[in-house]
Amino acid sequence: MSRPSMFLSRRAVLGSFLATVGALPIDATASPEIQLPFRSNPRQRALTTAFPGKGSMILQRARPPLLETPLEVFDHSVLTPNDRFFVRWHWAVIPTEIDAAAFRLRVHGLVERALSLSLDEIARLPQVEIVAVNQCSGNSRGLFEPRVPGAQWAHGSMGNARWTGVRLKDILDRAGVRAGAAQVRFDGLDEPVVPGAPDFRKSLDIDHARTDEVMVAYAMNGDQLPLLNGFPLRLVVPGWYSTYWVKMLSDIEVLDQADEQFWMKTAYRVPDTLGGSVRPGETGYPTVPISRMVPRAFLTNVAPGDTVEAGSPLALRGIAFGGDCGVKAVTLSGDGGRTWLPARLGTDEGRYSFRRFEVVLPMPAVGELSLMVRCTNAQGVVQPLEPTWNPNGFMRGEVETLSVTAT
Amino acid sequence: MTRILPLATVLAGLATTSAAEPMPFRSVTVELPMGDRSFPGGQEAEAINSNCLACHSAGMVLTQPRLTRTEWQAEIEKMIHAYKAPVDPSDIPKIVNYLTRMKVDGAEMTHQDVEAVRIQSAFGFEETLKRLRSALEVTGFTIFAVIDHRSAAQSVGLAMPPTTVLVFGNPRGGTPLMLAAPDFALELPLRVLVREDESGRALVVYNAAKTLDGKHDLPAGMAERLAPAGKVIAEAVSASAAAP
Repeated sequence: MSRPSMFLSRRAVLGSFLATVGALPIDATASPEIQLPFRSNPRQRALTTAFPGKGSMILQRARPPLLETPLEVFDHSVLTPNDRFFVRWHWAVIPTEIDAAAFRLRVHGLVERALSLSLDEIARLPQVEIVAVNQCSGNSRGLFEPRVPGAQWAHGSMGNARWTGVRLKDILDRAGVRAGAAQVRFDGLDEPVVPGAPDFRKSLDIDHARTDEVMVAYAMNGDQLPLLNGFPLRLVVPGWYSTYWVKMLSDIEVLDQADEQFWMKTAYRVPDTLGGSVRPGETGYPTVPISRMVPRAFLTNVAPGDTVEAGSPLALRGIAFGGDCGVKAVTLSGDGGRTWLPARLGTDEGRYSFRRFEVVLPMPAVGELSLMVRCTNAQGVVQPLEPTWNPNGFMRGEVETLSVTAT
Repeated sequence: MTRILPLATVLAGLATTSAAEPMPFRSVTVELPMGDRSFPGGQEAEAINSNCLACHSAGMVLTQPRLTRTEWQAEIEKMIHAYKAPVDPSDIPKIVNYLTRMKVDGAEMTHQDVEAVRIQSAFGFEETLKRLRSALEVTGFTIFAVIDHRSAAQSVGLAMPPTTVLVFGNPRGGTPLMLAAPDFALELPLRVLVREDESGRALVVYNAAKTLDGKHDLPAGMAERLAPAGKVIAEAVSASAAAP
């Protein structure tokens, strides 16, 4: 039985199939394709270079853009290059022209003095930086079984960058947060197409917003943010899912009570259970807004269905992250989870960063090899073997298994 | 990638960078691809194309896994109620029908023109029914049940044109499919509908084998084993069946 793999193919190999379905989307006729490792169709996606500031990306949706990073990109460096960093927008009204001199960040609500800060004013605040993983709540949704509706991402709606900017706290302090503040709400320049639709806004508790870690970033890997990743400013919430990392951040509002609007109260909620999991079909469980990430690990130098050499050492490598803290250990199993080998961890770029790892599987025998990598984070949380499941396809965190054949 | 900011040592959490020059910002103007694809299927796609493409292109919809009618209905309702999509209420069933009928394939969902095969019988209602029963039995099928909807309707005082469903099958044909995909038992035995339309013609309707392909995880191509039933039905009611 053939397995889905991340190999590239050309439309040409599908000629006979396409001849039967008629008209093709024009923008995909000549584009290379990629197979995502889902257990059922559709698995095929076009790769596109049509988006500004972006190299070859997996096209999940053109408008508003959903662009996924091919997994092989994570094999090249611990930081994900800006031009390969994933893109996810909720609404199609995205400004395509931003005047750096005219842009203002508004700070208002329960504050001593409302502010309207220019980029230059923000850049003169104490500069801070952090390496942190930005991961979509629905990363790997396409691997959920049973499958669930939503963007059918493989593992590439995540990336790791060095973020440079200023502490959110420093901005809030300039405005002077008044007593009684409960949450801080963030809004970007993007807008819904339809009037009356809920503008995309997210909120953090005031105590979280005032930690040293939450920042307003103006640079990513040393350069200004690509427009599609939120130029000119983006909230960075280390250890938390990227739904909070509001792009094109233009408005910060201090609230005197918990934010009750759609994107907090209805959307982006997960079962209030360990790992956000419930049984398929289960109902009546309490939910909470999604928040901290869970540990994950991925092999990056082999793809499902690859053929490897039997009887000689198999060098494997990949990336792991601890979720909301650092990586303590990564282990690999070449026998479907019966025995585990420790991996050697690469340079520590900080507790919220990807951590590269390497491990050699000594003598793979002829036949199918079931490779599993498992991260234990600094708080001792170990990736479970049991699958994550919830109806929104959020928070996948189980040990990933990848099959290759040794010959 | 050009590095325009000085390196800093990350200690715990955020690190303050050393005596940095303030970040210089360049204004940005980009063009975003329109994503002007529409949903395939011509007239049947009219409702989805006219209601849905204002807010998003077709791509993400066409790459959904196989979803049930209930799941598609829920998606459309989310679009309308949560995201305020201005969908014409009379188009909602059309959109749900369209999405439910899509066939999930390697690249994306593709439009399926025909969900069920509908043929006009060369004979009247009663004769069609008789010929179908006999043709199916002669070719090794068992008629398990004859469901006379019209009689059922009359029993509660409702009028209905002649509408009868034959439930039929052959364990030799069906068992391997149910062994390969146990849930496929829900689709068996097979059924054929005979009904009289408003002008008194008899119509014969049945699910084409190919529309059952892959259903309930049936291995690809296996539904083809059910195709002979369709052939028997079609031949039994064709004009040539009347010839001696």
